Amino acid sequence: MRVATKRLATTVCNDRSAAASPSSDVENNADIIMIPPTAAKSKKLTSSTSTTKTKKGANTVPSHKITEFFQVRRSSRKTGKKIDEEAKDALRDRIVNGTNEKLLEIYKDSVKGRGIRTTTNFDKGDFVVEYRGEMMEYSQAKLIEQQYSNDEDIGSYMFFFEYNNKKWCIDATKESKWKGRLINHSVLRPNLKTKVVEFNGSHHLILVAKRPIAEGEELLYDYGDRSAETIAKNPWLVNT
Amino acid sequence: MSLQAMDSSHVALVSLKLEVGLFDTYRCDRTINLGLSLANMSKALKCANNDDTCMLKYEENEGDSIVFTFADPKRDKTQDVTVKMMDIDSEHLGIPDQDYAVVCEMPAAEFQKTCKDLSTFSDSLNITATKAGIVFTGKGDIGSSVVTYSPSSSADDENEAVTLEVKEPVNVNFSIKYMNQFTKATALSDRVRLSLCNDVPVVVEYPIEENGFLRFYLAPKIDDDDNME
Repeated sequence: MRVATKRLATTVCNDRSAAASPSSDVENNADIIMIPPTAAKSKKLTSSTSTTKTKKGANTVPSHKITEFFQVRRSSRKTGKKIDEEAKDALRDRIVNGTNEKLLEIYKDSVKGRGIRTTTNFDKGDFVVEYRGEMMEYSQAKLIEQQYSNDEDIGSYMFFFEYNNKKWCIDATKESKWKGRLINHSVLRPNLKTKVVEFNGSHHLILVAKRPIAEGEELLYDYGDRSAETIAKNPWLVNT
Repeated sequence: MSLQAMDSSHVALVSLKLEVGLFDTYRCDRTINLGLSLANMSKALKCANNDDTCMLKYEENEGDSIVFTFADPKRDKTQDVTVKMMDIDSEHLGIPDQDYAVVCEMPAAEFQKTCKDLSTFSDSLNITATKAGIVFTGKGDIGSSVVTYSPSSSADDENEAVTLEVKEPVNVNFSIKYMNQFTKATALSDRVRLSLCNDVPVVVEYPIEENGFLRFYLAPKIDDDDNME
C-alpha cells in the first residue's frame, strides 16, 4: 500500500519531468490496483481492535476506505442501442405484467355501453394498454367469427390486423380483466393508435397515445374497419 | 486529460487533471476511459529522459494498448514504448461535490516539512482548524510535534502566506504515511490547498497551471467510537 502511493507520486513527477528523482522503492513490483482490499483490511482490523483495547492511542487505528465516501462510478453514458434496448425491455415488462391496467377504469355510457377512462396522464407515444385476448391466425379467426355471428348476444371483440405480411386476429370475445377490449371507437377524435410489438418471437397488439391524454379522458381509437358491409351494419364506425 | 487511481488498500485516491492547453498537441475525438496498471505505466515513463517530450497515443482500432513516444529533439531520437491496458471499470470512483468547512492554503514546501516533522513522532496526523488557526498534531510514545499556523494577513509575499477559510471548525485524523507520499508532489507547485470537513476525505491539492491539478483524497482514520460498534 505504501509502495502504491509512493509510486503514484513519483509517476506523476516523472511525467512532468519534475525535479523529484524516483525513489528506490518504486522498484518493488506490487500490483497496484488489483490487490483485493479485503485481505489487507481485515488483517489491519483485527490487529487494531486488540491495540485500541489496550489504549495504545490513535496511532494504530486504521483508516476508513475512500470507497466508503466515493462510490464506484458506473458510467451513465449509454449508447443509443442500449437505450433502445432498455426502453424495449421496460415496455415488455409493462405489457407482460399488465401494469397499466390499474391506471384505467371502466365506466358506463348510456349510448355506447362500457367504455374506458384513464385515471392518469399519458404523453404522446406512451404505451397505454394492450389489446389482450387470444392471438390466432386469420383463417382460424374467420371460422370462429362465423360461429359467433350465429349468436346475436355476442359483441364484436375480434381484432384483425396485419403483421409482417401475415394476417392475424386477437379474439377478446371472452370476458376478461383486460381493459383493452372495452375501449370504444372513434374515427374523428381518437386519442390512441394501434401498434404491433414483438418480444422473443411472440407479438402483441398495443395501444399507444396518439396525443397527450389527460386524466379522466375516455380512451378511443379507430377500429379501422371500412368495409361496406360492416359500415352498413355499424354506421358509428364513420361518424363518431 | 484526467487520471484517477487508488492505492491497493483503497484508503487514498489520486486525481490528476491536465488542461488541454498544457499539451503541445492534443487530440481526443470522444470521451474515453483507458485503464493502465500504474506499475506498467511507470515502467514506460522511466524510459524517458528529463528533456524528452512524451506523446501518449491510443487508437481505438489498434488493440488494447497505449503507446508512449519519447522524443529527444536534440538527438533526433524517438522511443516508442507500448503498454498493455487493463480493465479497470470497477475502479473508477465518482467524486461528489462537497462544500468544505475549512480550506487552507500554504506553501507546498511548508506543508511537506510539517508532515515530515510530525511523522517522526506519530503515524497519525491530527488536524484541528478553527477561525483562530490551524493546528497539525502528531503525538507518539516518544513525544509530539504540534505545528500551529495563525492566518497571516500581514505576510509580505503572497506565495509564503498561510490562508485559512473556516466555515465550521474541524477536527480530523489521518494516516501521516499517506500525507508524506502526497507531499512528494511538492515539486509541482508552490502552493498546496487543503480542503477539510469532519468525517469526509481530506483533499490535498496541488494546482497545475491555470485549471489543472493534482489532488489526493485521503479517507480519515476510524474513530474509536466507530471501532466500538
